Amino acid sequence: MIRPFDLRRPTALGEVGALLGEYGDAAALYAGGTELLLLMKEGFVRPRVLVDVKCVPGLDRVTAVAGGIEIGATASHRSVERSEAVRAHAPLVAGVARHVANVRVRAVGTVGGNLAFADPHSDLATLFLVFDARVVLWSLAGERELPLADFVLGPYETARRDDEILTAVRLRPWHAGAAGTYLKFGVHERPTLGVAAVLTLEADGQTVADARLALGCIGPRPQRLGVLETRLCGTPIADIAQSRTGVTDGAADAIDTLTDLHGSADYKREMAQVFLRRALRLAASRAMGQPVDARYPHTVVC
Amino acid sequence: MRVTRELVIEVPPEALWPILWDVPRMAACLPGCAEAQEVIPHSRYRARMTQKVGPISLSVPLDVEILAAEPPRHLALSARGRDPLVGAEISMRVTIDCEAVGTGARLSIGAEGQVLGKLGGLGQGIIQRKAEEALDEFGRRLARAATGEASG
Repeated sequence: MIRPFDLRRPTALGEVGALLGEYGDAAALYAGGTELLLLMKEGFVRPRVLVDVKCVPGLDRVTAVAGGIEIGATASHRSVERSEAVRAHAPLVAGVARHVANVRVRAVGTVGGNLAFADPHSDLATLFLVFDARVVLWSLAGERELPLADFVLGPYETARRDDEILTAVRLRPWHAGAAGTYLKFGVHERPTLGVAAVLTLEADGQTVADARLALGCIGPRPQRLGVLETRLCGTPIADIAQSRTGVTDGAADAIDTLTDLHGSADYKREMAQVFLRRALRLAASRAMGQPVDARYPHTVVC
Repeated sequence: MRVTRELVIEVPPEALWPILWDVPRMAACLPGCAEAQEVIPHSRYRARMTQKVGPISLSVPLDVEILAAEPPRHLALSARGRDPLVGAEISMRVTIDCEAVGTGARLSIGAEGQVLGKLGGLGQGIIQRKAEEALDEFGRRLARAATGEASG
């Protein structure tokens, strides 16, 4: 049963800042509530005050800005899926938004809530890494921007201070002509594993010029696979499309995995290898303009 | 859940041993430990352990029982408790072995425990990481406390 709490509904960021300053960690920011209320029902989290930020104007805006896309913290997954700006500049994000959790969560769950909650089984935290995402944190003391990779510290833990609110996430679209995919696998509603892969070809259309790979849900936090990205550059795209490279061999050895209800750390490491190979094959086929056989469930290729 | 750590502290086992029985100093070495008190000297103790995982906080009153004490080499204890708000039950067994190395001591700490109840569903892997972090911090603080005492 949920314990009693005060509900505050500020209509300006300044009011949010004042409430956070007054109550500190006794206050919880509330947007969609899809994660927070579950924990409150279990008694894991017992805030004295819920600060409902849905009434703050502009926080739900999704816009194309110079050099990318800005998604406001209280934008729902559904509004991201439908956003013209996202569809035009980051269609993979719009596609994945359609596969987050279930329809109820997509209707009310928010992008900011998803990231700030830092559930280790988050699609967005993994996907956004291949967009070099940066989060915007606001407090009465000022605004700061952090790479998403530095924002998520571990399961349920972020670099957000108690007096701060995450107001937006900024995504940097890929190079023109890049092909990307996001695959996930799960036995529960939350993904057991998520992989995002983006490949950009050289002007000759034969070899990889740039690769971005992110893996999430299997460890304490999502991670970019820098070593593998470097290894992919210069690799013939046709070899990747046919999984002839062996480029992912041993790639999972260095991956930080956690045992939980979704499976053992060893199991997840094995699955990571399998899904990395699949993701690269799909992205490579798309980059080559070939038909993509996206037969795996919840697969998005753009 | 099992966590083991080994560390070398630059004081001999004979100087380290009394610190392990000094309740306020041990409480200061254990991250999240408060309200530590002696119930029966060298036999039973009580303390409250508070740990946070993001927004989730756990506060458990623990009953500690000394299972074996062989000065200055070996100490074994068990700790049990329950957080009624979160519905989590914790039980663990801790051993500390101390061996003379040169002028210092090599400390082997082993903790084996379980977190039961709804919180256990959060993920044993996450709980294991938290336990490892807490034990590492305990080692650092104990080394500081011991070497501070040796020089003081």
